[in-house]
Parts: sequence; C-alpha cells; structure tokens
Amino acid sequence: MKYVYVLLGCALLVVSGCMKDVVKEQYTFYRPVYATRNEVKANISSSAPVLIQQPGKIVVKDGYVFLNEIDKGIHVIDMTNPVAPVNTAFIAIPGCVDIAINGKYLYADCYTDLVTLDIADPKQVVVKQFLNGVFPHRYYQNFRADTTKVIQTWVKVDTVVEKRFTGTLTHALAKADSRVFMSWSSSSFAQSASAVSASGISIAGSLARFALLNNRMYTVSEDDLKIFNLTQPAAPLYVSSLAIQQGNIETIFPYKQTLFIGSRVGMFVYNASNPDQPQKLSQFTHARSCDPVIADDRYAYVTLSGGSACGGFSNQLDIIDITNLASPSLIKTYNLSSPKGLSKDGNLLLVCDGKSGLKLLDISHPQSVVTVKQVGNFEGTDVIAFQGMAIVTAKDGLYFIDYSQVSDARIIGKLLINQTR
Amino acid sequence: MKKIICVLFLMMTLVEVKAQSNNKYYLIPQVALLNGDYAASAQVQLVGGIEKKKWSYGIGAAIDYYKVRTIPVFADLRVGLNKTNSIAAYLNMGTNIAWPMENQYTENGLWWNTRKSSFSNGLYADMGLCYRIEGKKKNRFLVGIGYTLKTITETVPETIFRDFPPYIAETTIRSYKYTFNRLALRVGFRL
Repeated sequence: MKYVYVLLGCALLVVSGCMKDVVKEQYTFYRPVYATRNEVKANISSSAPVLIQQPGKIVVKDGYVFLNEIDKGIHVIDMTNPVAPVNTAFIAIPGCVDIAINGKYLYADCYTDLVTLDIADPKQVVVKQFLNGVFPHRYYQNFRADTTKVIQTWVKVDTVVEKRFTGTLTHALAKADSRVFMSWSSSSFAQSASAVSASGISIAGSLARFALLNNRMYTVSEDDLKIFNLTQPAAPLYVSSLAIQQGNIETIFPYKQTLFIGSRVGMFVYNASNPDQPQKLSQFTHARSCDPVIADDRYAYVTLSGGSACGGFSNQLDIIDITNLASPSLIKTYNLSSPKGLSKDGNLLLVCDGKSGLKLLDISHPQSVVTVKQVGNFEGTDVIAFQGMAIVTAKDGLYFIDYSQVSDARIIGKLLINQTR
Repeated sequence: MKKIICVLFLMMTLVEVKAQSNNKYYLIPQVALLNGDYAASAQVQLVGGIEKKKWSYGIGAAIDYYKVRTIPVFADLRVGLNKTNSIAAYLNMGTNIAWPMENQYTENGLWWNTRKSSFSNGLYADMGLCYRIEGKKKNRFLVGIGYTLKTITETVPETIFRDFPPYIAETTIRSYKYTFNRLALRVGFRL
C-alpha cells in the first residue's frame, strides 16, 4: 500500500510542472459587414421617403430640410408648410454623417469618401463624383477597418475565449482595457450654429463639420482641417489638409473670412483670406466639454456640454469677445442644463438645452443675457434659426418652432421618428 | 460572510463536543504553500470531523490567497488518518467563497463613471496525501502534498460606444471565469 502512496506522491510532483491557470473570458463585440465600393455607389439614389429613426445633422435650402439619417442617408423634407412638413424622399448614402449644400450640389461623406450629388430635383438625385479615401478619420479605437470596402452594417457577436492566465488580479485595470472592441469615432459627438454659406442659399446647423466659404469647402476631422476647391462645384478637388494641434475637433463655423473651429478643449480661430491656406489666428481655451461655436462681428457663442464622452462636467454658455480675432477674451459665462446646438437671429440666441427643449435668450447685452422664452420639453441637439422659424433636430424627431413673436414662440409642426407625419 | 461565521461556529462546536466525549474526533489546523502558474501563495486551513475505523469525515474552511483571496468551505474525507507514522489520503470538495482584496477588483469605465467588478463564488477541490508523524508528548504533526483547484468568476461591466447607428453607449458584461490549479505542500497539527 505504501508503494501506492509513494507513487501517487511522485505523480503529484510530476503533475505540478503542468499546473496551468485558465481564464474563460466571455464578452460582446460588434463586427462590421462590408460591401464593395461599386456596390455602394450603385445604390446611391433617391427613393420613396422612409421613416426617420436616427436624426443627425441638418441643412435647410429652398424650402427643404435635408436631414441626415445617421450612417444611412438623407431625408428630404418639404417645409413649405411648416405646420405640416412632408417627408418627400430619401437619398441613401451609407456611412453619411455630414452634409453641405452648394447651389444645386450636395456634398456628403460616405464613410471615408466624399460624394457629390446633383440635387436640382431632390427626388431624382444624380451622383456626380466620388472622391475616395479623403476622410480617413472615420476610424475606430482598437479596430482598423478594411478601407478598400465600405461598412454596411454591424452585427453583435457574443463570444467566449479560453486562455492561459499567468497574471495576477492585482492592477487588473489593464486587463479590462484589452477589450476587443470599444469604440467611438470623431464623428460620434458632432451633430450640426448656423453657418450661412457664401452663396447664402443653404444654412447648416452649429454641429456641422462641413463649411462652405469662398468657393471652398472646409471639413474638420478629429485633428485636421481639409480644404476642397469648389470652383467646379460638380467636381470638388481635394486641396490639402492642415493639422490642428491638440485635436479634439468637433465643429466648424464660417463667418466672413474667418473659420471658427470648436474643439473639446477650446475654440480655434483661423483666417481664411487665403482660402487654400487658412492661418491660425488664435485659440480660446475652455474646460473640456462638447463644444459647438457660432459667431458674429463682435462675439463668439460657445456652448459647453459635459457629462458625456467629451469629458468634463461644464454645462454653460460662454460669450467671447472676438473684436480682436488674435486675442479672444471671455466676457461672461452663463450656466445652462446641458446645452448643445445653437443658432442666432439678430439679438436672439436659440440654444438646445438638454431636456428643456429650445431656449430663446436675449443677447442684446452680453453682460446680462436673459432667457426670454423656453419652448417644448424635447431633447434638442441642433437648431437653425431662419426668419422667425427655428428648425430643431431632437432625439425624437424634427420640430418647427415659430418665434416671430418671441413671447409667443411655439411649436407649430413636427415630424417625429418612426412616424409618417 | 454568513457562511464563514457558520463554519467557524461548527468548528467551535466540534471542539466542544470533543472535550465532552470519548468519541474519536479530529481537528487539524494547517498551512499550505500553494505553487501554481507563475505564482506561489499560501493558504491557512482548519478541518475537523469524526473518525470511524480507518475513514474520517469532516468539514473545513480556509483562507486562500492564491491570485485572488477566497474562502473555501468544504467537506473533508480522509482515509488512513487513524494510524501514526503512516500515509493517509484526503479529498476536499466544496464551494469557494469570493473575498477579494480591494486591489483585486477591476475598475472599468471612463473618467466620469468608473465601475468596480464583482466576484461570484466558485468550486473548490483538493486531493492529496499526508503523513502523520507521532512526536513527543503525543503531538501529531501532519505533512502533506496535494493537488488543489479553485474557480471563481469576475464580472466587469463595460461600455461599448457604438460608432454606428443608433450611436448609443451600450453597457455589456464581460466575465472572467478563472480556474486555478495548484500544488499544495501542507504542514499541520492534529489536535
């Protein structure tokens, strides 16, 4: 019997050399489903209207609202009668999150490409040009997409991986950071202040990342400014890219010969007198936050919205004196709930403020701004104010607000998500 | 924690019963050196029970510091423990109660919302051989060697920021089921 025990003991010693710890890791990630570029191009066209599901950025032109359906395309909404807006068509553009309209041409991103469409008849758009690979910033953290193809959709995958575990659980944070997929792109937090293009015929929201000025289109990514020559509007020409140090870029707003660029850490001011080579004039730094900016001759208006992936906790409106563009200075800060997009009409500043709908602020005296009206209880993301009419994108759809009589400002029409009217 | 208190209470009762009767009971405090996968650690253990002929039946609890601190609570089965200067075999099976130290939790999330992981209990098993040495004054030392296994599951909430429609932050759970295999070298003292 003793020999059996001795043998067992020896066996244990031998086995000890094979002691392996194992961890079975179970997690969820998303996997892209690709299509070829040709397949995607062939499918870009106008079609019957589809329901609004994920409203993105907006551009208003000639009685139409062009509303981005994030990553899917553009809704064409007839707002001739804002009391009863009509969803008239849908332009399918996969990967589209930004748009700009120059005359009868619409420029949109199609993931990493720039597509130019003739929208003379929004119900029969015609593809004019494709510029491939001009927006490489559509990247994902910890994930490198196949740039030869276009991502069509994503599928959720639950998986289990079993592997040897030689580490310890101490300082396990690093272990969790090795997740297979956790992503957000520079585009995620930018939605559309109202940039009136030089031609004065289309108006974009304050969260826009495309801006038109001097026959150029300026686009911003996380860390650069790209310039496209629109001398031939049907065939934009990529000119160059300008690195913006510190990055974290979110929005761009053109005003006269100046570009105001909103970033999560401040506002950058660029002189675009030389349209192909904008020069940085100054930078106004603020607390880390989501940050769209609009401007007029004397002041820039910046909303800071914290508590999101942009970081920071500031929720405020900063009014900045830009009389000297080379040295912007803060005039005053006003606390708000969770401000996002904004627009200006004369002495009225319209701000989407968290779940408080749209706030109308009297900015006649920047030192003593007062809220004169609050409309609705929707969660607005961006607003375009145009001659007494505010077009607001919200999480739950599109709102038309008549503010021609400020004290009587009210919602007169809306088009909600997943509803035909 | 309630389970630990229950086990300790049972142990104390066992000692009390032993003092009041002539039945053959055993109580063994012991320490173990645990040698595993790129790690070595220790375990302190207390088992007790009753002897019937050459078989012993009991329960036990331990504090196990290998990679993540846990409290194994188990049933104890032994054969050959009644003889001195001889080899006995033992088998422990039970539950492995999670009791991680503060620095063994995973903290996950972004700067505005950090979340701690949580642990759930697993299995515990231990089998091996021990040698009982009769010392002076009837002191009875035990030395042993065995293979021991413990499992434990850690769950970490994590956020996936979907960079595609519907562009939402989605909270999912990432779980890690650890299985630790160790060689245990034990030294104990039979009361």
